[in-house]
Amino acid sequence: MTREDLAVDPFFFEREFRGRDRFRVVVRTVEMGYTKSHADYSAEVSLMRTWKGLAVIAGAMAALAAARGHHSVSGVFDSERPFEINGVVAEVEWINPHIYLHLAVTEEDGSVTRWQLETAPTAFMRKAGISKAMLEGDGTPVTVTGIESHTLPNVGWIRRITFEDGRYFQISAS
Amino acid sequence: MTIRIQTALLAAAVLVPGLSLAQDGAPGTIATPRTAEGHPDLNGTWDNGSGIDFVRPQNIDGSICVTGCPQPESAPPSNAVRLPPERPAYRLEFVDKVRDLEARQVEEDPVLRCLNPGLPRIGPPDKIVQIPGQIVFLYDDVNGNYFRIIPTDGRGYRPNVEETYLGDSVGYWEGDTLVVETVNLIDETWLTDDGSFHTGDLRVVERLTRTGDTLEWQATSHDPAVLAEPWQQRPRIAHLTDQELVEAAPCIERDLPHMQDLSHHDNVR
Repeated sequence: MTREDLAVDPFFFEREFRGRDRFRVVVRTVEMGYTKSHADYSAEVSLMRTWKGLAVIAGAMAALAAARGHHSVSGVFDSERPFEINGVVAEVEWINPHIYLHLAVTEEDGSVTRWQLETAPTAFMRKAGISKAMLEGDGTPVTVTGIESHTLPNVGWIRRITFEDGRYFQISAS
Repeated sequence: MTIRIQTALLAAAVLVPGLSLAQDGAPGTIATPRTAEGHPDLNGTWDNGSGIDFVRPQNIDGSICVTGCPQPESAPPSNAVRLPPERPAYRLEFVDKVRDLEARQVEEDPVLRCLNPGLPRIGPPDKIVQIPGQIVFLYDDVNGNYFRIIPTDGRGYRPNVEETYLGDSVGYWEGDTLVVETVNLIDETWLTDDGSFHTGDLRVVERLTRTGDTLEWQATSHDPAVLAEPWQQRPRIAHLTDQELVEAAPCIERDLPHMQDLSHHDNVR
């Protein structure tokens, strides 16, 4: 299991202090596109005002992380194969359980390669206020970063879509 | 001390993706409205989180962050506590079957093939339409839009209908709680995502209680042929929302043929 599998995001936490030296930590592993009941655990720990508390948390979290299985992202896409491509959105398939964005990428020799890029379910986008039309854009090139398929060429999982003016949609945490 | 704890949490978060606070489950802030018949009025769209409470988008200078977003310090705590998974207890002779199905979940779980999750896995209704003698549950699921028509006029189950994913239901009131009993459920669904199969004799009892602008939903599954005891799920809380349901996007699964790792595949519910 890698950090990519866990879609690690250091900002994705909240905390609640309970008393002077005790707080409750609820741990949730987050998947890009799926969350899993098995992956959700809670733990209450005492920090005891020392780094020993951190070791307890880290150990528990690592154990919980290791105890869970893989998911669609790591099952299909390889976190060790990041990509960054620039192209024009040719098509958006607004479907579940994952939306597909097809990007026409012009190669150095002038040929055009069509990438099939998978991303979050429609409910994620709806909650974020991203519509199909917003993904389709205005025809100007966009830069997409993500990770490639384990086996399929020109197939990837989207981390971020960046527009020419610098605005971006960050869809995956890692 | 505060800095130390913050540092510890930040470092710990490198190992895990999410921490959140306990769900508040606070009672409603409005009086519970009632119908002309005197029952609690369950009409409305009810946001139960749909399994994606962890998605807390942020708008950042014209950009949009969908997941993994920095949350402002003033952000209210997430109500997205996810407790350890609930699993039904099986009679001993069926434990191996459950384990086998769980081990082959990617190959066997019907939900991963865009099928109706069935009861009780589909969870609380996303919208309720309540009229005299009848209540309609509407669902906006990842796999599609589904509905249930639940008579509350005292009639019994329908005779001679095929088994279905959401079964045949009757509803009645116990005080201010709507009780919905459902049978005739197709035996192809799972109770959870870990191989929890059931028979065609499954009977699910749901209890829905409105308090102000919150709705508590609790389901208990009875299948004595395979379950060691009735499986009583923890209550789930939904909140009244003015967001209207939309037609679900078609569900077309394409990943499974390309899965390189066949261990557990997550799913939102």
